[in-house]
Amino acid sequence: MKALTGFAILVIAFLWSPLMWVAYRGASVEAFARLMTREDILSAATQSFGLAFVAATLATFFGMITAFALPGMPRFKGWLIETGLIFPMVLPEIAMGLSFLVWYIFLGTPFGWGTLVASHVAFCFSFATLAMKARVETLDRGLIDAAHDLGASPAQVFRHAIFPQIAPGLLASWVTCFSLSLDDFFISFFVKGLSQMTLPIQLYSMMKVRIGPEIYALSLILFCFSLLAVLVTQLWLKSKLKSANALPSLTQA
Amino acid sequence: MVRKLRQQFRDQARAPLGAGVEKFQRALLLAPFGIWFLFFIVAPMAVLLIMSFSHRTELGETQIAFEWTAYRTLLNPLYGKVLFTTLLFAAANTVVTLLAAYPFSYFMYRCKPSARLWVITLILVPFWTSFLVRILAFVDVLRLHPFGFDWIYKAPGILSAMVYNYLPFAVLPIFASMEKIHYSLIEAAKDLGAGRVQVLTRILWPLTRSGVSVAALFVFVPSLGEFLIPELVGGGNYFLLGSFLQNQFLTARNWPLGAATIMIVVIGTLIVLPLFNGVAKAKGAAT
Repeated sequence: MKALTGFAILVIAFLWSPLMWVAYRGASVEAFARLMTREDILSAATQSFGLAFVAATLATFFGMITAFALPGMPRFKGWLIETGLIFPMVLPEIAMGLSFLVWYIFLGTPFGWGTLVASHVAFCFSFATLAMKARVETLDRGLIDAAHDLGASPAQVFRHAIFPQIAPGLLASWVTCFSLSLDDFFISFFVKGLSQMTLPIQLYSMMKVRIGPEIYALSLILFCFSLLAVLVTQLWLKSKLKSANALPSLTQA
Repeated sequence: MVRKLRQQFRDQARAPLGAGVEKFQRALLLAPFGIWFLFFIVAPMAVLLIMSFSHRTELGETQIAFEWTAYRTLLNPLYGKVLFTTLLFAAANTVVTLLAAYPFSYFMYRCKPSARLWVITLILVPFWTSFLVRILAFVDVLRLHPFGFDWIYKAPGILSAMVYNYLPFAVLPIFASMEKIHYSLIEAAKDLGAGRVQVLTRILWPLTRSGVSVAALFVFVPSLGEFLIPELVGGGNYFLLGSFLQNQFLTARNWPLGAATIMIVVIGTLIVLPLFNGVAKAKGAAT
């Protein structure tokens, strides 16, 4: 067990030390002052966060609907659907992005917010569905039937009997999709119009030229953002599920 | 009659929305999936398939035709080398990542539940941090020649950056499969005289094989398309499939050749995917 603990500490150090180094370099007033003057970065950040918000919301909504259809599927059909969902998750992102590119060109759709949002929702959809699936499968049916029997309307059944049960799944799905969309490089790279810019593409083009202090400041912000997101989600899921096993469900997708 | 009733009972037991879910309701619920699958998966892949058989004119335009030129071009050793290097990097990445992820998952498994939560947090934060920030951080550290390693713009640098990025992807499914093992099973084996090696080969490994195969799938296939790591960490010294594709579509404008390459990756994925999903399924039902 001692050797194992030592190994685990090494792995954690390997994963964290580069991030700590960047955070250290970004933590200066000068770096932040430089960042504030870079309107192109700030605009890319706004666009990226907006896109991620819309894409995560839509993908979670459609994922929820699909997850409700899955339990009790005939074996083969269910397996087929699941394989169809996993396929785009496994496929290299560049292949997915290029397939969208040629498809939109074939359709003659102009590249812009429309193609960008649609593509982001499309690639988040699988993750959203699979994140919701486990929750929906363990729904307490008795509660729903009781609500029905007590005369609740379908809307009330959803609001009071289903929604509280699937809320952790919805959150896990939304957060997963949000970070996937925020992180995406290839799909945006191929399907965005000339007037859109996302944060990863902006970062890439800046890294190709020169890494200035403003990039470190931006990295620090993004790092703190993910730290906060993980902590909040974890604590919330933990209080909701009252078990230490809450976390894997966040990432089992 | 009895059969019908039984079927009805079974349907009710399965339906999550209560007794009301009937066939057409399920079809309605499945509509977004169907539209998504046809519009964003099948149709784009069909266009790529047609494109891969198309003709490229001297000017770099693509004309619909039926010829094998693109696939025959790929047989050229020059392209074979790109594919081989890519496969080599992806395979090395998978092996190293799994070798590190497996003991780490076991460490998480052995942690007390309260400590486990924090270990998972430590794995999740890098996992959720922007991919580009992670690469930037890694490149920046490699430039400092840590511990005397001169790995920047070299093959070990690319490999270590890949492992750095894919490690959390591998830990999570392996841990998920380990978590289901009751520790009393291992204790019983030890009581019955099993040594460490036997516990690993006869208890842990058979019960976690599905998790490992899922992890391998999620590390190997996506790393085939890696573009940013060879570009930013490798400094363009290694020409891998991702750069090749980007090149064919955006610079060389040989779309049929690019499409044919993607088709090969897609077909490969389609062959392995059902196998892995099948393994996971069978295992999932057993536990």
